[in-house]
Amino acid sequence: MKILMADWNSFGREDMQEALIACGHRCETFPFDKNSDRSDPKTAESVKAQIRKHTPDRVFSFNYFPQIAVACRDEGVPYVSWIYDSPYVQAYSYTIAFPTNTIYLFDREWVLEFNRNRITNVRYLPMASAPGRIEKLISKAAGAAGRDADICFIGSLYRGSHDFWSRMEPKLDPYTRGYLEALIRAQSDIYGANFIESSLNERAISGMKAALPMDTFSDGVESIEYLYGQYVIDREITARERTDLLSALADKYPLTVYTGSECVIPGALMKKPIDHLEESPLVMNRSKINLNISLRSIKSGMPLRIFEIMGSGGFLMTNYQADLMDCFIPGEDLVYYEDRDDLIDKCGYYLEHEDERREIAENGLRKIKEAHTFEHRVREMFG
Amino acid sequence: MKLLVYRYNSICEPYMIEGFRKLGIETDAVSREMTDKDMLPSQRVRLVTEALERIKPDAVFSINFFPSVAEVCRIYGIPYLAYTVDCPVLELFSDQTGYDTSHIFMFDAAQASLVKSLGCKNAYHLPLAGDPSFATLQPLTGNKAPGKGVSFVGSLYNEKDPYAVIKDRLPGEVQGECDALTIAQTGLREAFFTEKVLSDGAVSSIREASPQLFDDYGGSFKGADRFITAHCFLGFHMAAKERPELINFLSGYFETDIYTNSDTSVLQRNGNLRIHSGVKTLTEMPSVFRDSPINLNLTMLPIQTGLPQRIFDIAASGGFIMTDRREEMETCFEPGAEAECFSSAEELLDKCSYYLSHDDERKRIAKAGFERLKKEHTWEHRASRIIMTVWGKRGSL
Repeated sequence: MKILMADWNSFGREDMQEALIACGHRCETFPFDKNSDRSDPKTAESVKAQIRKHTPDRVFSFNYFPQIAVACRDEGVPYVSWIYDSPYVQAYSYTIAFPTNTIYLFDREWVLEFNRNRITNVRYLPMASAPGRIEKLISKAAGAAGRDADICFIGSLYRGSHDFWSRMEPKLDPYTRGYLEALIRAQSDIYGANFIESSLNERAISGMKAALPMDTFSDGVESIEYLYGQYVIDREITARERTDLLSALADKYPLTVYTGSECVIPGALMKKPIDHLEESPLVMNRSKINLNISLRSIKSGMPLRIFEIMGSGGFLMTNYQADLMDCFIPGEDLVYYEDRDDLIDKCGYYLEHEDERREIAENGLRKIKEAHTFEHRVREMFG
Repeated sequence: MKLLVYRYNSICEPYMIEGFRKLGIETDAVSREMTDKDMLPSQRVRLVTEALERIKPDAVFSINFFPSVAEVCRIYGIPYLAYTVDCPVLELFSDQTGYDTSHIFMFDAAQASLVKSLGCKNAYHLPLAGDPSFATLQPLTGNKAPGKGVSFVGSLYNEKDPYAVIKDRLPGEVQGECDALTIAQTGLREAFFTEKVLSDGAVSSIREASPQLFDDYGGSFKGADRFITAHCFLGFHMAAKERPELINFLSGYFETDIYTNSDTSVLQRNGNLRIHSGVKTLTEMPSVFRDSPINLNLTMLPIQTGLPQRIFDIAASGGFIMTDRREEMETCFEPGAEAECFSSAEELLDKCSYYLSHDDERKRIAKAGFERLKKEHTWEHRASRIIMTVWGKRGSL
């Protein structure tokens, strides 16, 4: 099959291309600007020109783009997309119902939300890893120093002057501030049920609009509660949670944090962000414990980081996400924590029990190789 | 064996007295507070002391917990058996619960473990109960008889909503906090997080704006203000918000009968809604429960795991229970076989539709609930459990 892939700076694009070829497909690419205006017909026109030039059997992109969906519908070519971001407002574009679309999504709960609304071309597909490439990378870099860590966290702390919450918070009226602070405190302690979006009343919405204007797309069905709930509030809850958990860990154990956020965790070794293709797998492989603290807008799905860590042969310590049960066995392939005290206890335990740690990491990597590589996903999407 | 019952006119007192009597236990009563509602603790102490000297009982029993009665029992070294049937009961946070002689039976398991953790050595969980003779009353006639759909008997809480009274006097941030917690908590009924999540600022602002409420409950333990704000202030406000909302929702689909003395102007008038004044607990309510196809129970949110009196009263009347899902439900009535539960308005709607079109199944479940109550959940069972718990372990009755 000839696959035309929209080329933008996404996660996994190199691994995906390799996997397509390894599975016997042809893969061609065209440059795509992910920030192009979705309402500008010119974008769809340029995608159409690419389709006519390449005459593919399928068009593929990581994440979903209405401009590509329009082009594929007009040209009569199936459009396969694989969403790994959440929140992702473009998933609420009215174009998703086009019969030419097949949309794969990494979060089972979110898929069910679409299916309940009779959008049946949205399907569940967890993310993947490329253990083969990573293995080569690791053997090439053997002996390279400076990457060992006891506990390691790679990711955003959602703290900085550009964050939505930081921009909005100083301008909130007292009612809305009291409202949001209470909601955030309530939700922080509760996992497995997100009530932020359903708990925003009109007064709080208009208070947020006055402080940080946001609006829904005219060609989308997303709600204003979705935008503020997931892009602003869930992110702020995650920011506080990550800071809180990492600070508590740094208090007791050596912790290394790789982040681009303007934020310091007292007691932790703070490092700049690293290249996720070349460098992250090495760090994950050499850390005794790798943390995943999922963004709160992800309902049941496994974030990318989980696959990156396990595919690097790293030991994963994660918060509970229901989709974990689809692919892995907790305690055998990975370990999950239930709350802050549990995280601290379990990190202490696994730092001291090297054999168990290694065995779990090896099991995890084996499971990835058996069922969760990009090639497995290519076969699922393209046969 | 002889029990002294300290009475204040709780509706449960006659049932428990009868329950003890059936076990062959003699009872005598101190009854002054049934009519004298302004009794001081010192008067209570004097009355109980006199009665103890005169009657020489083996133990003292009361509905709910009186710290002053506990004091007297400690001095005399005789057991004080208290059975709490209300929520909240702030006396449960008094030091007297920790006396060796204080034995406290609570209908909410979460509360029982909390009180135990605060130092009460003899804290037990004991569900409420019902009186199966409820099922034998004559049907109500005329306009008062229930219709063909769902009935709700009880308060809409608007007359008891303290937030409505002081809302405008609270700072904006506190109003926002109260509104947010109310929406979030009524949307997630399984865990009462309000008490923990409340900010100190909100607690003190609410106390300042509503001192009478705090004086009325009068808790003096650490965290009393927070407890009262969560349970008595916001807990009541949440009921005042969610009860009319749920009834308005139901009456959009089914014939809905409301029996209440509350202000019903918050209910949307439509062809389905029938508003009745309140019914008498002993002579009218059981007939409503028995003769309504479906009886709605919506538990007060601060009651964390326990089953409220209404559930047992419905079962005792032979009525069909449709209740919000409760952790303790499964230990008393089997959901789907002896009662029905819902977790969301959608589930309530689905189940009401189903059971209103499946008469036989509904009647079978109501009957099974009634049989279960007769077998395990009468006041006599509770009286027996109390006696066995306190004396069973000492080896002699």
